[in-house]
Amino acid sequence: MSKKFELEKQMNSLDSIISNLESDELTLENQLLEYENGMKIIKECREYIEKTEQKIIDLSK
Amino acid sequence: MFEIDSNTISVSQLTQKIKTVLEGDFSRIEVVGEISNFTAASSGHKYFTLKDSNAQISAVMWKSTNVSFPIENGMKVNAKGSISVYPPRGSYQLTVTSMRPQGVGDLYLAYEKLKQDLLELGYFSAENKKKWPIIPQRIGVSTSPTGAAIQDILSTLERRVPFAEVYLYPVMVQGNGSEKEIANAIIELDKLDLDVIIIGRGGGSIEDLWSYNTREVADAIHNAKTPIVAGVGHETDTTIADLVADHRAPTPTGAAEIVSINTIDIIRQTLDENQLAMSNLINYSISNWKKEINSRFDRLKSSGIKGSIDMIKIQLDNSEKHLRRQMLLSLQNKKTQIQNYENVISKMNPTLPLEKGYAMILKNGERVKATEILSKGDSVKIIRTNNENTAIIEG
Repeated sequence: MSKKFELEKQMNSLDSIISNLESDELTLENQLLEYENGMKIIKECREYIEKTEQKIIDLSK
Repeated sequence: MFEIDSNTISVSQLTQKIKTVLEGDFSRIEVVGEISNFTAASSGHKYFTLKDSNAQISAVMWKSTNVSFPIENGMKVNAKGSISVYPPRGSYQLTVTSMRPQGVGDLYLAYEKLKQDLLELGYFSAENKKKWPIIPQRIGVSTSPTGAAIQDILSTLERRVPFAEVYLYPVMVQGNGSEKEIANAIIELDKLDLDVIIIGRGGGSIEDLWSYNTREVADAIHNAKTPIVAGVGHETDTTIADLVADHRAPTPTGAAEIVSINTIDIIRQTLDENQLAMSNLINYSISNWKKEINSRFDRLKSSGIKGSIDMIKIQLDNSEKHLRRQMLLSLQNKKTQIQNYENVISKMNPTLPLEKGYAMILKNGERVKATEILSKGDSVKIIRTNNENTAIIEG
């Protein structure tokens, strides 16, 4: 997450990954690549949300 | 019992006659006199005596009767009303229905005229009323440097908005030239780019308050860019300054209070509330995002890849079955083939003829082929089923 992380953008890419996977038009290799990418984005989103939450807690102190 | 003959009447009859005469003859009168013994009863009725140097008359003004100036002892008034007689006490009094101060009658008319003029000029119109900031930080105050009003204003501001800067412009609030001073103070304070200006003075007679009923002061207030709050005299006094000002407070203290309506405590409380609202909102947003992420996680997990892997597994299973069946089949073929060979080969067993009584001849340990020619003297072995013999060829 060196670049500015944009949750909304990431969620949109997740949506397109999921619909790609659901369309069933990819080879297994490409499906796996998409799946890996999707899981990576989910992980990043969760980390980002946790960081944000912590920041809110810190700011509210 | 009193004896009553034809020439005498009872006290009640006499009083009734007096009542009829007095109330008939003095039903609409206007009396000039000086007020004394003024009492405002808690019921709202006002009792006083009207007098001049030689005579006096009790007077009453019922609660429902309004006068637009403060009534004080010593004040000379024109009172309109009627005489009423109260038989139980044998007393008579003036019931006042309207009253105006005598002597200031001209001022009074001037007040009414100025009010009418300014009304037509739009000086009082609500749309011209300016608002001051919710939390004023620069407050101008113009009032008398002596008296309670200035103390009341300053202590109210200090208590409620201690952070505010207060710019004081002391003026003479009554007497000759005071209207010029008041107007000038407003003009000067207006140049300081303040948030709001308080003008006012404590209570006094209508003459005392008169400077606040002048065109000069009205113009200064009207032309000021800074919002002005006026608190002149008591609640019952309404001066021209009060009407032109952006807000009219009942008293000088009231003016300071309305300006500092958002006290430091309220500001703190508002900040706390805003902080709470803000963190509620952001927490709500965070939990929403979490839900969004989780639902995508679930969808991703159950998306196409799972389906295609299951499909491939089934295909692999099928292929495996197919493969195995194919293998088994060819194995079976091989077995049958081998069996056939065995059958053929077993028929070729050289010992088979022996069982039918034929013999086999070996020479030097090897079978003598059908085409081979044996010579005389060759030593051979003759083999039969259950017997072996050695023989010499004789010819």
